[in-house]
Amino acid sequence: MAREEAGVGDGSAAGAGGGDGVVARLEGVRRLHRRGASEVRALDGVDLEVRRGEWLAVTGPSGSGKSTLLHVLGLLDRPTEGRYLLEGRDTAALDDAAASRLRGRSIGFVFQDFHLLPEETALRNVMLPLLYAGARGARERAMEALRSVGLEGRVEHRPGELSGGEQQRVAIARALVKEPVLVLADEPTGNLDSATGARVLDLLAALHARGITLVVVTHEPEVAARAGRRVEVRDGRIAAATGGGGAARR
Amino acid sequence: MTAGALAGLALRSLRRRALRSALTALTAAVAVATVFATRGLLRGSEVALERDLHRLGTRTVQAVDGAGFVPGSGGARDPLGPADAAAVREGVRASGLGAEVVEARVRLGVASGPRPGGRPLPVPLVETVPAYGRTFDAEVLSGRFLEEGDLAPGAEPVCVLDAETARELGVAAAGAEVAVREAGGERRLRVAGILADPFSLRVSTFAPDLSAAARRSVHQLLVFRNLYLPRRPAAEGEPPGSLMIFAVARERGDAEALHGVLAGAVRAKERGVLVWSRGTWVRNIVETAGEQVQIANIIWAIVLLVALVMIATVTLVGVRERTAEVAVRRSEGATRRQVTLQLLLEGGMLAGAGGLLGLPLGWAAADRLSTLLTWAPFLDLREGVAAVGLGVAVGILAAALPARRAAGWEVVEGLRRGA
Repeated sequence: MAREEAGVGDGSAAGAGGGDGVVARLEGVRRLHRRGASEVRALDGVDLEVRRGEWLAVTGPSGSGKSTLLHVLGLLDRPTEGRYLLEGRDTAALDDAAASRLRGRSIGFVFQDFHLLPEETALRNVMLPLLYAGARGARERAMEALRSVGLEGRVEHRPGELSGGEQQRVAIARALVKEPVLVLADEPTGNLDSATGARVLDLLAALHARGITLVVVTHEPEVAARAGRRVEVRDGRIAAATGGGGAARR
Repeated sequence: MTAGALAGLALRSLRRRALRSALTALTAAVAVATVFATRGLLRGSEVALERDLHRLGTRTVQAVDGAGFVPGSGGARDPLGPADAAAVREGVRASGLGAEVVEARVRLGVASGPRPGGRPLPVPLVETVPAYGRTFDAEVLSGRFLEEGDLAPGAEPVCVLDAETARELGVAAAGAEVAVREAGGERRLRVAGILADPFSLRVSTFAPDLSAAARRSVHQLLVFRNLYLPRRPAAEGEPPGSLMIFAVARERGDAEALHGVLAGAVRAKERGVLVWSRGTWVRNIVETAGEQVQIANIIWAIVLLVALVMIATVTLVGVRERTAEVAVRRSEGATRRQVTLQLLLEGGMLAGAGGLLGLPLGWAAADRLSTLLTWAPFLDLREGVAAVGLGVAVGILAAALPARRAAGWEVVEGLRRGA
C-alpha cells in the first residue's frame, strides 16, 4: 500500500510563520493496537503536515482512525512506526515526562465531552495546565482566557452548574490559556445542540482568526466546511485532502 | 508545579469524595488512636512500675547472710555479725562515698492483734534503728516510724507494722496493741505506726501488664509484711536472728561503687554472703518487664497493618473510578510523577487528618481504660506526634500502589472511559 500524504495547505489565517511554517509533521506514521491475537491498524502510514495558523478538519467514518490521529498529534499516544515532529522536534526522543510537559505547554485540547474536572471551578479548570507547568500568573491568565470566551461572569461556577455550551467554552479557554502552538478539537460540537454548536464554532473561528492553529476532528460536514483544509481518513490512511490548495497525493 | 498548588488539587479532590474521604480518615483515626492509647497505657504502666520500684530504695546496697530471707542465697557459711557492720562502716568511711550504714536483725516471731479470735500470724521481726526507714521510700499511713527515743532504756515498748501485717492483725491505726511471741517469751507492744506498701502495684488484682513480672520478683525478695522493733541488746535465750547490713548512698550513681565496698568489707565471696544492689536489681526487673512492651508493639503494628490494607483497598477502588480524571490531568500536562504525588498526598492528607482526630480519641480511650487499671496512662505529646507520623506514613504507603497504577494508565484509554 502506498503511503499517502496530505499536502501543505494555505488556509492559514496568519501565514506560515517561522521556519518552514510547519507546526506538526507526521511521516509514515503507523499505530497498531493488539486486540487478543489480532492486530488493528488504527493508523497505517500517515503523512501529514499541519501549517502554522491553519484550520484543518479531519473527517472520516467511525473507526477510521481520525481520533487516533488526533491523539498522536496531541502526544497522548505514540506512533508504533514513523516519525512525528512537533515544531521540528522529533517526539520519539521524548520520555513520558518531557512529552507531558511539551503537551502541557504547547497543545490545547477541546473534547466532545468537555473533560472538565467536576470538583474544580471554571477558573481552576482553566488554570490547570498552567499549574502543572508551574507557570506564573496562572490566575490572571486564566481570567483573561475566560474573558476571551465570554465567561468572565461564571468563573467561580463548577462544571455541573454550567450549560453544555458554557462547559465547552471553559474547555476552549483551558486550551487557549497556555498559548498553544496547536489546538486539537475532537468533535467539539458533538454534544451540543445546533445553536450552541454554532456559537462554539464561531468562537473557534474567532480564535483561528487570531492565528491559532486548529485541527478539528468531526463527523459533521458543516463543521468541516468551516476549515480551510480538510483531510479524510479511511482505514487508518489519508484518503483525500481538499481545500487550501492541498490535495491527497499518491 | 508548586507544592501548594498540588496540595490544593489534592484537597479539592478529597472534598469531592467527602464520604469516602471521611471513612478513610476514620480508619486512620482508629489506627492512630489505638497506637496512642496502647502506647500511653503501656508507658503509664512502665512509669508506675519504675516509680514503685524506685521507692524500694535504688540507692541501697545490702548484705545478707541468707538465713532464709533471700531465696537461692542458701545461707552464708559464716553469718554476719557486729564486726562485719564495723568493717562496712570503716570501708565506707575510707571510700569517701559518704553513705549511711544501717543494721537490722531479723528473726521470725508470731504476732497476735486486737482482732478477737484472730489467728496468730508468723511474721519477720525486724529489729532496727530509725535510719532503716531511709533504706526504702517508706510512706507512713498512720502514726510514725521508729524514733531515737524508742531506743532509750525504759522507753515504752513499741513496734511499727507494714500495711499488710496491720491488715492481717486487724490493726486499723497507730495506738493499738499487739502481742509478739518468740523464744524469749511474749511481749505486748504499742503500735507506733503503720507503713504503706512501697510497691503499690503489688495490690493490683487486675494487672494484665508488665508489672506482673516485677511483682513476682518483688514478692520473692522484699516481703513487706514485717513488724519493726527498736534495736536493743539481745535478751537471754533469744535467737540471734540474721544480721542485715544496709548502706544507703547519697547518689544513685554511687551504688555500684558502694556494692564493691560492702562486698570487700564482709568478704562476701569467701563467706557466701549475698551483697546486692537494689538499683541493679530494679534495673533488671524493669528490663525484664520491658520485654512485655513488645506485645503492645505487636498489637499496634497489627492495627496499623490492618489500617494500611483497608486504606489501600478503599484508595484502589477510588482510584479505579478516576481513570477519566487522571487522563484529563495527564492531557493537560500532568506528568506521571505529578499524578503519583497528588494521590500520595491525598493518602497522606487523609491519614494526617485522621491521625489528628485519633489523638483525642486515643487519649479518651486510654483515660477510660485506665479506670479499670491501677495506673494512669502516660500520654506524651511526642508519642502523639510519632503516632500521627506513623498514620501519615501508612496513608502514603496505602496510596502507593493505587497511585502507581493510576500514573501508569494510558491517557487515551482514560479519556475513552470517561466518555
